[in-house]
Amino acid sequence: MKKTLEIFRYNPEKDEKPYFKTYEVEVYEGMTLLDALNHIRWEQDGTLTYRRSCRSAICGSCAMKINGKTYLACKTQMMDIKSDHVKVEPLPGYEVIKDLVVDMDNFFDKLKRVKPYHITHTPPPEKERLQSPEDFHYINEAADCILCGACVSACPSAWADKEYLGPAALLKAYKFCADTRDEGADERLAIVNDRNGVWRCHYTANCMDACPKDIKITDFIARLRNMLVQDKL
Amino acid sequence: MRYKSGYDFSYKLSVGHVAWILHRLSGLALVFYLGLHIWVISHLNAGPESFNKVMNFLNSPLFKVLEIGLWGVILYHVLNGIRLLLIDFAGGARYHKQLFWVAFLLVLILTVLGAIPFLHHLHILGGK
Amino acid sequence: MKKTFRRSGNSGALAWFFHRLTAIYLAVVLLIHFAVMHFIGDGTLTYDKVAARLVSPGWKILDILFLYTGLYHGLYGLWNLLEDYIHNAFWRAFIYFILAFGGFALVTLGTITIVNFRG
Repeated sequence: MKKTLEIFRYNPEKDEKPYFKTYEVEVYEGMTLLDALNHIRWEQDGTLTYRRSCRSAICGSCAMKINGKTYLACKTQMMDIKSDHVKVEPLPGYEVIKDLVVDMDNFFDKLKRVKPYHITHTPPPEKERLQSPEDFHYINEAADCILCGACVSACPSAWADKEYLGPAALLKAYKFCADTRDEGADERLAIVNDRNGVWRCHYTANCMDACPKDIKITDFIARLRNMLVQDKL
Repeated sequence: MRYKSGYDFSYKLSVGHVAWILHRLSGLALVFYLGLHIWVISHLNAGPESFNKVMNFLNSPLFKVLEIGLWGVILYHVLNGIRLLLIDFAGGARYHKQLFWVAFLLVLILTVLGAIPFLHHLHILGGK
Repeated sequence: MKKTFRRSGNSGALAWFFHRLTAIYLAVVLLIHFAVMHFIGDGTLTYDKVAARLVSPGWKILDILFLYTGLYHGLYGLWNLLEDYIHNAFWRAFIYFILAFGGFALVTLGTITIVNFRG
């Protein structure tokens, strides 16, 4: 069975404008979209550029737009794509560096702003800081994030305003605020409590739609808001 | 699709995205209506003649039909607003799509039910 | 495009919470208001009908609260919308001023209408 891949191509050093190039690939049971891209790069066109690393949905490198929605290429089965025509584009909302590779500086810069690391004031115990399985349940889902950037790329609030922190950073802030080992919730909440922070979300829920790990990001943003309001009342 | 310096701001329309667009449009309509409404009602203090003159205008068939539209817009904003409150305070984000369809169905049913008295007033469905 | 998250300096936790509180009040009162105006009775609006209600202090309080919560809710929403798409500091301040001025004018006009009304 053959499927057609229509792939976004853009090399700023050579091309005046982005264009789409079509490739034909013989698909088989178990072939992922990443396999198909590898096949094109290795057998048909060595100039095709994309990010990939783990090919097992944990590194977050290969998020891209497939037929209008964001997925991880390595987690998308070619057979599961209903259409025989597969349109592959880079993540929306970011500047394109080359072909399917986007500039994610903006994304990681915002992530750093919510202090995504444990902040502690009490002296450390003899071994590591332990967490009970019950307490882990608070952060279990939020800790699944692999930083692929799909949520931010699908968010209309982030499209409208580059200064909006975005769903990934807010999710990360929630994860650390809800972590029982962490003691820096106050400073972190002060950062997200901002018009460009948690209050910019308008619940379009595109982030949840885009998330390849199926994290209910919007719910965690709502929980952050409740934390902040309880703090003020 | 727009690639200005390599940017693309588009995503396949999702239920939540449509709900948000409609919520904004209905909210925008309602806030302008509110301003107009306050101004119209302020004619009360100019006495019965002045007020009834404005009201006669608003009792016309055209405005009765527009008010059915207003009723629909209000219903959407209220019912989708309840959906948003559930997302805020009751973990509704996990079932927000189902909530949207429930709200949407209720808007349709209640708009039609609410239109009946209006049509009575217009003597389309009978009545005095 | 580095350093894209700049703190705006105002937080808005209580403003947001108040927006949600007014939403609950408005949802209830707006539906009552609409039913009383359009579904009960023959649907024509006259001075006498409005006057009959507005002389009672209960309706006055309900309507004044309705006016304030409605304007707060509406203007908060409108500001939220405009802030999404207008990023220039001058234009933001300008629009904030317009909204504040418009809101103040409507609050004054509405309050005078309701409080002064004696039938």
